[in-house]
Amino acid sequence: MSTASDSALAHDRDTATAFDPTEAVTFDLQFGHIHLDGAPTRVMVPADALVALCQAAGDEETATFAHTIGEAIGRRVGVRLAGGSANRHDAARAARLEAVVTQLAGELAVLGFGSVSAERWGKALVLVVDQSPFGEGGDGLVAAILEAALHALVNRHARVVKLHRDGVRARFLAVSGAAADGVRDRLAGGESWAAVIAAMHRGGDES
Amino acid sequence: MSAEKVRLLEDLLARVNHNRELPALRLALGHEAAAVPSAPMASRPDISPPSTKDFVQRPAVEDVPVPFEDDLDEVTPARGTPIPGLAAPSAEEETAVFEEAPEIVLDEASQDVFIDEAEPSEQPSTLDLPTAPAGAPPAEAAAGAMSPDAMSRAQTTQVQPARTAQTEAVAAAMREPATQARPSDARPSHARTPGAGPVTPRPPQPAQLDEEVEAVPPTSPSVTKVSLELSPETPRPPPLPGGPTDVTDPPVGVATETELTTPVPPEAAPALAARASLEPAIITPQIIETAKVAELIGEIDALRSASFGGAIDASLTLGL
Repeated sequence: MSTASDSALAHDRDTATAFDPTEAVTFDLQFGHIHLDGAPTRVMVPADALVALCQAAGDEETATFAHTIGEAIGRRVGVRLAGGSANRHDAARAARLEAVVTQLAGELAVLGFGSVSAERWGKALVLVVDQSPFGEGGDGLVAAILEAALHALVNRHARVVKLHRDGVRARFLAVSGAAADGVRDRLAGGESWAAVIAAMHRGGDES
Repeated sequence: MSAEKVRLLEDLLARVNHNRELPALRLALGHEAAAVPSAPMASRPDISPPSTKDFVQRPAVEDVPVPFEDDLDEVTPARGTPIPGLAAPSAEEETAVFEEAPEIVLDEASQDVFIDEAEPSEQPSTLDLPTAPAGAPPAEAAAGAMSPDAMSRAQTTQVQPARTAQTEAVAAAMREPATQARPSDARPSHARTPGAGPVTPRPPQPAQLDEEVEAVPPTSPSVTKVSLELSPETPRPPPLPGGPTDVTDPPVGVATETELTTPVPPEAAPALAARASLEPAIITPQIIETAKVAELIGEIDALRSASFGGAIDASLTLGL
């Protein structure tokens, strides 16, 4: 039988989980600037032009650009989850997966990078991005942004590998650096992403 | 022999021997056929030179006599009358004209007079007209080397194209397969033959059916076959604006009814078959693999059940 205190806790938990976009983006029309959550100025550029620029710049430069964006996202999510505490990394690790994904999706939605959700296939953490404005050509950029965001959240180096794209939905797997190359090789060899995840749970003994 | 027949005979003889005046008379009467004898020939660039004999025996176009049967009963030329624009014939040309003129025959039994001309089958078409030799003046190169006989035949062909022997022969030849066709026969091959000649878009009327058949040029026999299969009681519907005008244009007839009753497979069937063959290849293996993953992993954990740190650590422990 639930009590009034239980309802209050549930309400506080849902409130803390929800993403509040209030004043997340500020348009300074007098100066012609866009401010994002108090951060320095942002610009609004066409998504396809940005993808073309990244493809022309190369993988290394694209990763650097994406890490700049993703690290800022993870830092803002961690600060929001910490609620003013000193260690935002511990706050993010202690937070429920649902709360972290909600905040992360809110940040990416404000930036216009698509809708983010998460799936767990056994131990595997799969981040799903729907309706990415960059399309399939920008999956590498999105993967690098997610990778930087996770690193900024938990202060642990995780690699994000693209598993599969089905229409407007793309799946990315959070995996260690040691397993990232193996996952990419298997996917490039024609294995399905589900088979790769299954093989990872058996320690890679199934080829 | 009556006086009228005698007078007619005398007129015929006078006109046959001195019929070079006929073109002028035709012009005076406004006869179009006589006014344009050399116009079609002037537009033909591929005139091959005839033999020297033909050239010598045949006068220039200005001197060509044009015997025209329709005008013989109406025109009584004055012998020796000078014609403006026409040169006087030489003695040799006079002889040639006289030798090639048709012979007047008097039937003693019936007291009838008739002209003994060449057989229709011997008359060449306008395409077989003799030509002038190389180096001849343009007027002669165009039509001057024509014999009087050829010129008369050319005019006759222009006025009555359906009555030439060649056209009659073609029309008779084209009637044969059409008369052998039966409603139960197989579909005519010409109805769907690619590359068949175009059909005259004007729909034939029942009263004009025979005339249509005779006027069909010999290069498109399939048109005649289609026209002959039409039923006079069932007129062909008028063609739609912008509609097809070839042989496959649906006429009213036996062949068309056979084609219309032929079942046509729906066009959507190939697309559905292709989709049915593609869908299992794309979707079914994915479902199988998903079930396989669920069987190996055991279950898909709910997102609410773990902390974010725990989920990240668990995922990073996986390796290949």
